[in-house]
Amino acid sequence: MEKEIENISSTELYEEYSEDILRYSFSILRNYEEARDIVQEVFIHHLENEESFKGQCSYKTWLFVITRNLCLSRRRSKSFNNERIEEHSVKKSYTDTFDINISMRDALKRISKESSELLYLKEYEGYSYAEISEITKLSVENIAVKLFRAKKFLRKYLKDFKDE
Amino acid sequence: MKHFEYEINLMVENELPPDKKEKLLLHLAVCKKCRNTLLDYSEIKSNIIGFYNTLPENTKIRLPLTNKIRFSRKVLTPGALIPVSIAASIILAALVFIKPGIHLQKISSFPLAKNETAIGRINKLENFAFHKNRRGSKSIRKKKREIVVDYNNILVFNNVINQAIYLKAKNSLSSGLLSSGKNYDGENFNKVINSVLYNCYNN
Repeated sequence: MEKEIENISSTELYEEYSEDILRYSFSILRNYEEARDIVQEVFIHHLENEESFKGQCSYKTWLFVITRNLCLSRRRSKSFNNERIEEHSVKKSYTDTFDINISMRDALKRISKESSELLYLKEYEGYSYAEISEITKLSVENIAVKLFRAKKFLRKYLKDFKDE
Repeated sequence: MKHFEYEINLMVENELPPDKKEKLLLHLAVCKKCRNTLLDYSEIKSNIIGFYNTLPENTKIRLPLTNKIRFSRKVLTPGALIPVSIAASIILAALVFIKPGIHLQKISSFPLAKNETAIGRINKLENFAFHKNRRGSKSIRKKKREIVVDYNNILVFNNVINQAIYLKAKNSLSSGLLSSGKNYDGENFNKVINSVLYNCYNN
């Protein structure tokens, strides 16, 4: 049975989820300015297609699916700068965590963009494998293996960083 | 002794079935290497969360007049800098000398959704001018000019949602597609829009 769609205005959705969408698009694009552009495009796309949202998933999942599609499309475009995680993507503050954030940024550069996206969805958003599968259309087994490989790499990388 | 790195990773991610988790916990009690692995994976999780928490917030207000034109680095090539700086000067002068009017003429190409009514559009429009608080009553947004400002027929919106909703509503109504319900013809619609904007200016 189709769920009743909760009536939420686009402004409320924007206020609620724009930060999450920014982080998610950053995890895919690794470019802060591009990620900010995507946030805008996601909500325009949502407004233009909101009648096609039938309530079969949460608004957040719906927006994440749009985000993912737009990011992948942006990544394929010729003008997209493919390689950088910009310096200002990490706030420069002299805290104990600053070094580890820098090393995490460097480590994330070295894994695939897909793995980076999966890590964000799993570790930051706390989605289950099944929910990630709903967003990315990858199989649960595939997600589990890719995440494990990525985290195994991160473990080694961060260990080497600490040992230096 | 066999070690269980993959299962430990699953446990940290809360994806390990309960029966396997029980066995793993028994193993962890006697295996130091696996305990270290558990610590490492937990640390990675918290480091990832920490990393994304350090991203700057999505500061609002960075909107061009239309959706597709962005004054980004791609547009601001050296050759374009002179006309852009002249345009910026004109806009700055307009901001200083021209009193905001209420003549809204920008039309966009947002079509009307299938099941949308004129009243629905108007409600949407009003929703971004007014906050409904939790008790259900409406309160006008605090900051002046937060929603939209019309400088000599140039619209500047504070975020893309407000821009898109406004343009959708404006276009649908002015094109005469919405005539059901109340009689919102173009002129009436402008009155509604203008009263919303007037409230934004003056409250």
